[in-house]
Amino acid sequence: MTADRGSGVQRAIDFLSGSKSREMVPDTLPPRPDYQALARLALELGQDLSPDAVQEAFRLIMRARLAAVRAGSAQAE
Amino acid sequence: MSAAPEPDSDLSPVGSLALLWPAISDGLVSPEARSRLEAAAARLAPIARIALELRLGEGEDEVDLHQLIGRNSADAAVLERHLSKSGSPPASGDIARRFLGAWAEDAGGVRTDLNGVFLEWDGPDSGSDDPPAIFLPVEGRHDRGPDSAACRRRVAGHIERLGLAGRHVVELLSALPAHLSISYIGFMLGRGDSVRVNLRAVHPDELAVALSGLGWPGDTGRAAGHFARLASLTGRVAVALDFTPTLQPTIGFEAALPDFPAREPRWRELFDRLCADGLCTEEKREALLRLGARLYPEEKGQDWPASWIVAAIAAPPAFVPWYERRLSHVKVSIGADGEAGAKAYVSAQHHWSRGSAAAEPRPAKAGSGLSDAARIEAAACRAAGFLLAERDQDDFWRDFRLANGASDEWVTAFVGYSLVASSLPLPDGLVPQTIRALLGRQRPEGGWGYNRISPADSDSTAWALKFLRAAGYQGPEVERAEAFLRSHILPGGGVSTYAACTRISFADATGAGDDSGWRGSHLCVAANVAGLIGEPLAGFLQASQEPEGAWTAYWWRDDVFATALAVDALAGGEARSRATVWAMRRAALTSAAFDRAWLVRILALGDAAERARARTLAVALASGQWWDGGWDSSAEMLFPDPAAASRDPAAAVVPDDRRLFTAASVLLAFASARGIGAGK
Repeated sequence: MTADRGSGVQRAIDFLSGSKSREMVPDTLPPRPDYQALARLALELGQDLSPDAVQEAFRLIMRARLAAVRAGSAQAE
Repeated sequence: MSAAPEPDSDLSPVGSLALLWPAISDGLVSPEARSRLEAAAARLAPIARIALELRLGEGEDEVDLHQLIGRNSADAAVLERHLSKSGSPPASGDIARRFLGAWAEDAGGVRTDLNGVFLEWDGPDSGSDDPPAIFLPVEGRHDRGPDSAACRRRVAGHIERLGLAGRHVVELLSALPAHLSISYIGFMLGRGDSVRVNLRAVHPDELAVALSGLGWPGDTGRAAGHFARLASLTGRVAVALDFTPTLQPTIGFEAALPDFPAREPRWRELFDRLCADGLCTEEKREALLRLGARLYPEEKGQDWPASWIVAAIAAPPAFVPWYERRLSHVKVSIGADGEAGAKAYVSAQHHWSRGSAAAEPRPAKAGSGLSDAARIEAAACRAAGFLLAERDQDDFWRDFRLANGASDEWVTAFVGYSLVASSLPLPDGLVPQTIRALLGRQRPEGGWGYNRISPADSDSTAWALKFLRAAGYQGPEVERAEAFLRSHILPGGGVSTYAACTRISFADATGAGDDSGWRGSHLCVAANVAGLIGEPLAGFLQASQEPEGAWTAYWWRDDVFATALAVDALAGGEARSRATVWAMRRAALTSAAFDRAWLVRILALGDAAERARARTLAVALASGQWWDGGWDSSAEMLFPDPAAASRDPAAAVVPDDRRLFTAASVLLAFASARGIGAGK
């Protein structure tokens, strides 16, 4: 992950990775691409995040996770 | 990739639609239909694997909705939660709800026995109480004989126990001839007692007789013509028959292709044909050919549904989801009155893991107490059965995926040769049908190619000629093929894959660039052609052997295949001895079935110790066979830069993704191993 700690993206990563967001599915989030909805949810929970930061944060989390999975597979082989 | 169970998160199917809509024009699905579908999808169990069934004719805009529920515990948990939340069902939904409840609980082992269930709603909307149709898998492609009968009995038992249909359906399953493979049975709960049976792998020559035998009232010859055209365009066409309990007048042909249209040229040919027949509009054709995509959340610019994001974050770190929308298959319906129509099926599915689609291979039953010879014989029979079951209905085998699509001419010649050379009993008609298919593709210049849209080459032609000779075919096409091969012998004594005059057109490797490498001397091809032409290639082969005994392949990652072909072509002597010594060393270093198979072929021509090693390898191959009669994909073809003069270390490696080339190679190895004395 390349986001700077303290930046909006890093705060979005912290928010998405936090346990609170897990309880919001599926009732409070739309079943369609809608980063505004996640930003609104964050605001309700006291985090002022832009939709762009949420989108980028999700991308970075998935990228890091994929890299770890691939590294694990390579080691196993 | 993860071995852990998938998360049982709720994933709304509306998300699948949301990621599909940007690729769908209003002409394909109208804004009104989208709203109806979203409302219907919101009422489904939150499993994000859906498909749309689209009418292709002018002015036809009705869309049906499908959902695939897997056999895994995650889907079962989601389904169970959904059923418990959704309260009392409307009366008409009782059977479906009972079935889904049994599926979630695996009552009577229904989920253990069956590999997933498809649900289908006709033209759904938010207020509809109509129950879905339920489609269950019956027999697998590789289930044969007693296994096939056992599949039918198992499914019949579940149908009866769960009250999906009356006794007549159980009788229908047992009455359909055993040689017809039933892929699915469907229960149209909204259409009275109607039951659909899908048959796979019906040969075009047999369809008219099969329809007559089942009492279809239409013009069977005309229907067979439609079917044969679809089979020639796609290779795999299922026959969909509706019974109530007698066979209904409208029958369907479902044609599937294995890849995105951008990588599978036959999709466009299929849609061109549908347009020419007035069954599809040009606008719908273009929209369907464009819609395929895989979306990965780690890539920039992707849009992931908000609720799916939190499900992904909450999933264990081993799971990185992705999404695929794709054209799945096309269905052409023919009425007994001659009326025809067409539909396309578009799938839109969330997946949890990369590379998780391949099933864990199950080994074949070993057959304890059998001698080595008997084990090899049994494995050879299973391998032949695997290859026969994988043949497409246009009489071609297909394997390897390149930009020009899969290979059929080259692969069919190779697999056909292996089956004939195996000396095993083959079904009536198989050899003549394969001869007919290949002769129908011979080019005016006398050769065959990778596939129909690729130029003729000497390697494909050599395998076609080997097959025709092994099959005893003696027509004038043989002489033309021999002349084609001779035209590829280079002044220096080698053999080129493509002649100087051939226009090479391999999609992105086409045109004005330097393709001198593909027109150069290739030892793997010379080794193959030498088996047919002999001198002057024998001398060239002996001179080009590496000191340690191998011949260096141009089109293959490893040298074992080329070396085996060279050894086979040479009568004996020093070169062969050096090769068998090399093969003994290699045998200790490889576990790949493809390489082991060709090592068996080399070592079977050696001294007593080498032949004994060949036999040991053959027994090991028999032990590594899958339940379906095949082996792990291990034939690694190269796709080099067309300018590369020698083997290109940067070449793309193209595996035999359908495992046919490996299985055919092992079958040839078993034929060699049979000729070796029993030994210890």
